[in-house]
Amino acid sequence: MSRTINILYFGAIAERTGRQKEEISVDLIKDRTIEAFVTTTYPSLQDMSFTIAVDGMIGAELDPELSKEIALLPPFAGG
Amino acid sequence: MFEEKDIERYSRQLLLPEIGPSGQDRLSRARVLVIGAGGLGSPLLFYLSGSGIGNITVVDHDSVHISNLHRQTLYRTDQVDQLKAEAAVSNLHKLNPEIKLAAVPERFTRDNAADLIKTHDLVVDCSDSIETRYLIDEFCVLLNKPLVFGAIHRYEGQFGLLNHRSGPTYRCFFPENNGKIDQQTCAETGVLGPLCGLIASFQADLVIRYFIEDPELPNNEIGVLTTRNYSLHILKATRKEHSYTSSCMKRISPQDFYALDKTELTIIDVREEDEEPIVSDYERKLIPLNEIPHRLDEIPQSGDVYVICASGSRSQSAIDFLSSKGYQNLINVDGGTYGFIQQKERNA
Repeated sequence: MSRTINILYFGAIAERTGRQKEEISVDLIKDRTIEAFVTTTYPSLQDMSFTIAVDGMIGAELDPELSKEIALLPPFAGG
Repeated sequence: MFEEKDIERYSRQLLLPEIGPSGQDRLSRARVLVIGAGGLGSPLLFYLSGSGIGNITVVDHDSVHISNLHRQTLYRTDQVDQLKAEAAVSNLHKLNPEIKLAAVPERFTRDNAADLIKTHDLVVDCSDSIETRYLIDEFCVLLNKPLVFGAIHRYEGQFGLLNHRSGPTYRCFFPENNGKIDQQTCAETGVLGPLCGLIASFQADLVIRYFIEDPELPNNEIGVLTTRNYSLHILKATRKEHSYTSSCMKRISPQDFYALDKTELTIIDVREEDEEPIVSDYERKLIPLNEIPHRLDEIPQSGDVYVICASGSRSQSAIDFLSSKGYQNLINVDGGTYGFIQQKERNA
């Protein structure tokens, strides 16, 4: 069985995916970018602005053997 | 300057070894610019004023609305319709008459940004639009000022100290959106008051710890708090240089928009169908924000087109998106429908 990795969704991203978190097989993101995976799985994210963190670091490269957690964070407007 | 007469007022924080008289003296000399005196600005300003930050400037163009009071803890019911910046300063003066407070009842714009920021040591972003956040970030970088930002969306909030000791900026965490749809304001999505208090408390904590020179203060991370599962995620970024070319769009103030003869105008309302308040003073074409990408053929590419929503935030997102499709004839209606109604009431 292949490794799994957690994806966390925040703000309006979580509202569009309908979940705050999911566990996926790393095979799903081995040969394409994280952005390509999430926008294919959830087409309503295509017009959303968000930033991607791997193991808590914005813009870090995914390591299919070591990375544990991906976070998708949109900017929040409210104040 | 911290004086002996103030010992009792600040005694409980003076007990902390990290503060003591020298830390309190640094707080008393601090000059802080707070942009936005709404959900985040309200609790933040109480804590900053109470702690003895010596010079605080409050920037907010808006007036107190009855719908603010569930979360904007600074204001009282009898202050509805007063300018927030002035009501805030009046109330905070009662909390701590020993500090200097200044009210700037103006919108924070490209025109006043540099003058406001350069006379302060630190900027606190409590604004409620992505456009303002990028503008604040831009001028803090240009003028080399640390920035404590806070932002909320329904049950979640973000906060952090940015542009500090060569650390990352707001754009390092949130690169500009290239015309994608941004988030909505509290007036549009709803928010619970206590979340504002939580995020504002983190912001106030960062401001105070910045001035007392807490060596533990992080300079490369933001916090993301989710109240529904009590989780706090810390995300880090590294400093990257960004070009500051955004925010050059055309816009119109609520006053000028109200005064316009609207019989021949093209006005596109990007709110949801049936979204209140419904205004019958002008003809509008309703295209909800999410439908914009699929209804481009209904939006003319020539002649002035005014884009409006509830407060000016979603219309900005629509314009960002349409600009990426080549539109150059769009004008954002600042303050949106609420601004129009407020203006109408003032003129009545």
